[in-house]
Amino acid sequence: MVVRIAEEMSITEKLAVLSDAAKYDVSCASSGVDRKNNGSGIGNATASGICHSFSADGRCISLLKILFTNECVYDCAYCVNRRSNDVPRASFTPDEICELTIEFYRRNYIEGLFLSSGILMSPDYTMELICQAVGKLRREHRFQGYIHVKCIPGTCPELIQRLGLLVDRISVNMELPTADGLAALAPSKHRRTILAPMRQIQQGITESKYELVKYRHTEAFVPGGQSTQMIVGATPESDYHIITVAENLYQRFALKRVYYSAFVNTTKDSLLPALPSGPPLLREHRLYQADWLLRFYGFTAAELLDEKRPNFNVLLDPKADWALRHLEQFPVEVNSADLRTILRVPGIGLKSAQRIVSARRSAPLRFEDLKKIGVVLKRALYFITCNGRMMYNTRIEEDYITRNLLTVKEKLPFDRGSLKYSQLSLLDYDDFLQPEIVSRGVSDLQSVVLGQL
Amino acid sequence: MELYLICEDSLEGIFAAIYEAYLSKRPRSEVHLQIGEEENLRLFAEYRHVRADPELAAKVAATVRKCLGDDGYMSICYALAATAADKGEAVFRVITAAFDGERSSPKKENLTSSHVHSSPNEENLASSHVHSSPNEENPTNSHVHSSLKKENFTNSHIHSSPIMENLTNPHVMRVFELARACGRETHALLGFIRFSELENGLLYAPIGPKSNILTFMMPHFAERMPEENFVIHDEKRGLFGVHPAGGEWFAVTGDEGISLSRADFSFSTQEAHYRELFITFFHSIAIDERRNNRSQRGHLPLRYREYMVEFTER
Ligand code: SF4
Repeated sequence: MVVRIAEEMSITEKLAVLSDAAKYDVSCASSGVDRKNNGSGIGNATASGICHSFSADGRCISLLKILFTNECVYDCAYCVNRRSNDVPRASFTPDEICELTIEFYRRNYIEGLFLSSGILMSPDYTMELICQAVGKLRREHRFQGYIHVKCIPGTCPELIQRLGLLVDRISVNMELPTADGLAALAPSKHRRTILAPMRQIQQGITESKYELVKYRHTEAFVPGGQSTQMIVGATPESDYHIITVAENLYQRFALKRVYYSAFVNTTKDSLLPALPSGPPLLREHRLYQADWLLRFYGFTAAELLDEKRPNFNVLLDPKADWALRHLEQFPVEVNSADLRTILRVPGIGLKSAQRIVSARRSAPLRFEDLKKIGVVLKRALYFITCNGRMMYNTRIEEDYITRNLLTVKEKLPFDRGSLKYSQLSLLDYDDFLQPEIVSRGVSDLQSVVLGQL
Repeated sequence: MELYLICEDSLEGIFAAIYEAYLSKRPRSEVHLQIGEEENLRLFAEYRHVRADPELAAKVAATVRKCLGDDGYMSICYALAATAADKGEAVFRVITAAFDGERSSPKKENLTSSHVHSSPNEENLASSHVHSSPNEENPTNSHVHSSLKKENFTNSHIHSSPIMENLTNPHVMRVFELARACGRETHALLGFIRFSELENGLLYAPIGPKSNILTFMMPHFAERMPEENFVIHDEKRGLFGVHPAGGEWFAVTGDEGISLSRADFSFSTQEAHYRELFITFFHSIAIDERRNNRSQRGHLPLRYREYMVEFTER
């Protein structure tokens, strides 16, 4: 491959190309690391994370999200930057990356840097350049803000070790939920070259935490933990398949976050689904909801879905859906039930549940207190009692509650109206369930998924 | 007879009034806090003006902190930054409930009890800051809490002391609501505020927040940009937060001879260039297939946008 670094491109032109090419990467979180400034240079990291703007697609802008280069020697079918795609190419120099980061940070445009990249020459060659850029930012500019670098599969362990001591977060993208999907769409990538660095980073983090306790002054290795991303809807895996993979990544690789990215068909490759009604946003949304249930609400993947029912209900959120299938566990008395049980009530979120448990120690809670605390009573009322009474005289009956819940307009992060009508029609509902694929793929799902990880 | 203590709208004013309330030895239920002049005077009530007093305020602040813990104290400060007229009374009721030992939690199931007692030297910090304030007379709530830890500036910590957990108490609920709103606005603005570089290298950021939150924002930026000269300007209140490179930040009001407006400034030669770069980035990072203005508006209400370069005309 001829390396065409367009020297004559201005930094503005490069930024246009290399942020445009980075926009499909989902993660923009800057949370999870609390690091004080050491009194010099610039920057710190805030545990709660800070959004600096919101782009026209409603997504948070927290980090300067750019590619180091959009040159690439690989040819992944779903990717705009694939070798065979005819797009303008550009690469930053390490100095340009430092300048943009520092000057944006001073003006409070950003919370830090998110650096991903195509592959110039080879994974190691590219990651070496990225290490140089990040090293410069940390050492010469004494930048102490948040840095997230995407690790290219196949990078050698030495480079990952070096990188890990410079950045807050590393992510290695799963890309697709199964090895089959990967083989079909990204033949240069292998499950092995993705999971090996993940494992190395996990071990590095564990050791580093231990050493920090022991010696205090050692440098932290990837203090913000690692994350990954899966593309949803480019390959035929079911929701059950996807959240089972996610659950395993949380449990066995100690990942901080798994991101789901509704597939946007930019390359129109014949191997890819056409998606006439746009990216599967609702499906992506349901996966995020389920992901929260896995991480914070004590649910397991197998409780939410199973082989017979491998996809989420388009009309109801996963928690309401679960509750309706487990009506024997309701109603729950909010003044005595334990936190775990309260967390399972539709309409009660994490914060509200915690507030309930602490507030009821002073006095028994009434429905109006619950409302002020932040409980969505319109949804919760079918599932709770307050001091032994239900709010209204409602029946605990699946059809009845389902009908009522469906009349409460669900708050979606996007307009239902903006989804094409067909996306919510029954026809598509069946597409969602993907019956033919399901019957093939799910039978040996557990072994497939577990075997891979 | 009911006693109404009239005080000015600042931590120094409100805390001084609470001090006065305790001095008065009246039954607590007969004493009320009134911020600014009352419009409908009551016939059978005594009205007394209380002067803002940084020293008394510091004493009250220290006691509140000891009694309510750092988080509870922070909730009080946030609530008092609100514009709501009833904030003084709500805060007063919560503080008296806490002082008078209306302890809300008989059993302590969780970790919150560890927050309740703050260490003695934290207390000193709070008071020493008031004394060293370069603008002791000035009616801003700047230095009373400037020594607080940064972690307290996020709304996740707002209600941890036992009294603040008692959300069935209407005054606690009110303080909680006010504090939550101010905490949210502060957190949002920590991200949305935009600095511009002036000719002399100073970074300048105008803001127009609903609540009086400038002093909650200053520690965040002072910590993160120790080597920068910067100024945050609350245009609605004529209030300036000033950070000299390598020094401590302080707050100044417009009455003290400073008057600045955005029109007065000339920007550095590079300023337009970096703005242009950020605007380029801002537009190219959005995915067209996912365009969603409603969600954008929900997260980033229009009122913030007049201060943000990416939403102003090119
Ligand atoms: S390696 Fe990355 S940049 Fe290159 S084609 Fe594949 S996904 Fe795109």
